[in-house]
Amino acid sequence: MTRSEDDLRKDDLRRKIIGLSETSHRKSYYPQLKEQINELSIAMDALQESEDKYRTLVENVNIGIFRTEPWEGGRILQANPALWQTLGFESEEEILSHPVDDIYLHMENRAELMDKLKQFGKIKDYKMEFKVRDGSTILCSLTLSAEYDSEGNIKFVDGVAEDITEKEKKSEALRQANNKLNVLSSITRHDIVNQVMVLEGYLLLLEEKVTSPEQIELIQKMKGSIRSVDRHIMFTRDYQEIGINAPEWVNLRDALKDAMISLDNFQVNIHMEPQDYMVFTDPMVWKVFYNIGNNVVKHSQAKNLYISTDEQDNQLLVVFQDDGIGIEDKKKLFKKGSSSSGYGLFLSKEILSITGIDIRETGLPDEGARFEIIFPQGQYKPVQ
Amino acid sequence: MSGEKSDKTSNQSQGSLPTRKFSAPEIILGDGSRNLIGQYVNSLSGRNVLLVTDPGIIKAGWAGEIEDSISSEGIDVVVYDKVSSNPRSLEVMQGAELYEAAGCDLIVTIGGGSPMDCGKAIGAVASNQCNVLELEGVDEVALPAPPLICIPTTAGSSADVSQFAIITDEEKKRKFAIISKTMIADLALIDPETTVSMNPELTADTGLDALCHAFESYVSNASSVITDMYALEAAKLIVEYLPKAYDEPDNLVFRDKVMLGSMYAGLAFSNASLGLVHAMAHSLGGYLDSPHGECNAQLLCPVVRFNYPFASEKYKILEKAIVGENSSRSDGLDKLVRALEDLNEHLGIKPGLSRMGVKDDDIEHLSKNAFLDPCLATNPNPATVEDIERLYHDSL
Repeated sequence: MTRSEDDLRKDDLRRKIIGLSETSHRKSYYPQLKEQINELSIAMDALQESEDKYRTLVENVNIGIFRTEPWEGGRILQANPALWQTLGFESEEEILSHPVDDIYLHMENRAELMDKLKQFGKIKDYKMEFKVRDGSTILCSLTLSAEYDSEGNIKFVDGVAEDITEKEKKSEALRQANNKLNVLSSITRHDIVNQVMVLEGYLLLLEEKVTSPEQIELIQKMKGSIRSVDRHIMFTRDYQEIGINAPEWVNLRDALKDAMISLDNFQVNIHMEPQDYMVFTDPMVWKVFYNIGNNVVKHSQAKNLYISTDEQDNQLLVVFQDDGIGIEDKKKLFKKGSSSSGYGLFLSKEILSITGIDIRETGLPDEGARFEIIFPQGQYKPVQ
Repeated sequence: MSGEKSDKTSNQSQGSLPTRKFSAPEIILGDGSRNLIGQYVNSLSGRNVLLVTDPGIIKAGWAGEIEDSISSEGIDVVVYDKVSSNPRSLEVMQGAELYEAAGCDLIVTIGGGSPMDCGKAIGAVASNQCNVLELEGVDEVALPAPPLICIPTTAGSSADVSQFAIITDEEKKRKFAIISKTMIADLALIDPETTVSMNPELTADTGLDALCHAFESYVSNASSVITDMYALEAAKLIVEYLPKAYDEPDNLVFRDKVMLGSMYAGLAFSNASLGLVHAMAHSLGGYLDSPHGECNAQLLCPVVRFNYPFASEKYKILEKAIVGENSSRSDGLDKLVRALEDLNEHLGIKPGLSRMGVKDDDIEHLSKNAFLDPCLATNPNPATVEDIERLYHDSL
């Protein structure tokens, strides 16, 4: 080491000892404290982030979210922009100075709602009309839930209000259009069926008067065509009913029971072994069950039909297993107009598909048919 | 560092007040102040204390007394007493391991320089989770240590008020310094009563260590008006009262004065650092495990002679302070050295490093280590290795 390097080292040491550099500070905190401050800081950041996330969500969502006092004349304590804008207020402050009762079109409706809330603690998808400040009204789907204090009294009411005015108008227009189509379809079908009957009557009369084999053969062909027209007309009647009613929670066991009782059955033993489930589906689902049962009775040559449920991989299977001859050609099983049972399985698949439910046949020939109806997650739940 | 900053911190600045920092712990000084230990452990939120001490202090009863005081507050105490007279790095690591294992949150040290330096290093190791050897140097302690309370039982090292901790690297047979503001205790409970248990030899050794602190910090090239004030007052007090305390060990008034002098010297050297005496004494202690105070006592006079031309004005002031006004017209250096030699003689320090086991063959190694000691950086006369070798030879 040269002399000058020594000098530099010593100068550096001396400056450090004098202690004016940024690395030369007294301890003003302890590691434990620093650690706690760090942890607290991380937690605060996470909390802030979470708060920002939810605040942004609440402020940007297109559905009114609010908190109110539960009693008559109570105030609105919090309201997101969607609520105060929908009701025609200029700001959150403006709506907060407003009594809750005043935003209801009929004040007595709120009193009724509060009674129900006291009773059930929660009200879901309740249709309610509200006043807008420009004098108009809106229809909202209202969900309320009660927040309680330590003594079990309702402290706040938290609510979500979705403006369904336009949706409701469109639904109504759709309903009316559907009704018109149904009426037109029914009248037309009725008239066609009448004319088909008349046609069949004339053919019967003609058949009695004709002796030529060629002519008789032609009459038979005409009768065949008339039956085909009749089947088509019947299909329009069945298909028309699909999807008319909104899907709903249906008791699976009851629907199966109703369907099986309707069967004209003297040969097949039906073994009902399903668990208790509610399924979310078109109310016509019983027709699907009936159709499958009817196919077994008419075509399977089975002695037994086993109906069971199997929950696996977040799916619920409703299984119809018979011990008949099974199904050889499955390619066109669910195709329109191709099965010997007419439109049954095609319609069944259509009914189920409205709510995203699938159907498949997995049986082996000579070992019986096995129909599985597959309810995805969220479309079934145990009976409460 | 920039040239501008260098000028601002230089002793050769144009004005009379070069920019300087002065750091000190909270100090409670006075007879019986050790009895406040429980209160202050509580106020620093200690719930599980590591008490660092040595067998001598245990034997004297001071450690037990402090342990009882802390325990009576309902606070747990774990004792680490495996500290030798020149604390070794292994002892620091063992202490830090115990601190961790016992889940301690505060360190109390009671004893002389060794337990205090060891306790300070234990805290730094515990915080920084490293080997103590990695903390060598100035400002190398990144994370502050846990709360620390020091109770000195000698009037000499003043580790209780300083930013220094001197540890022995037993493998390389050298001492190294940890110098950091983070090594300053949170509280020094300075109770002169604890010094009455020192025998005359220890009184002399530690007292002369304090006198060296005063001398070296006063002539240091990093000194300031604040450190000068403490250093000069320390020199006066020690020279006047150390022989008296040596002669009458049970006289608490004398013990108080020496302790006060030691504390002043500690505050001075903590902020102005030291010089060649300590650089050479550290080297001796590391290599031969020699008593630190005695090493200093042997080396002070030769180093004063060596440094005198580079800080003569300050030495003259020191001389006046310890010998008296009349000395100003005399040959200052000889008078000053004679006064120091007389003091050594009074205190039973016989001259000659060879008496302590130092041999000619050791000098080369000792000098190289002394040359690298950070205390040398603030010595007024920039010594070379050859200078140091000569000084060791002359002191044999």
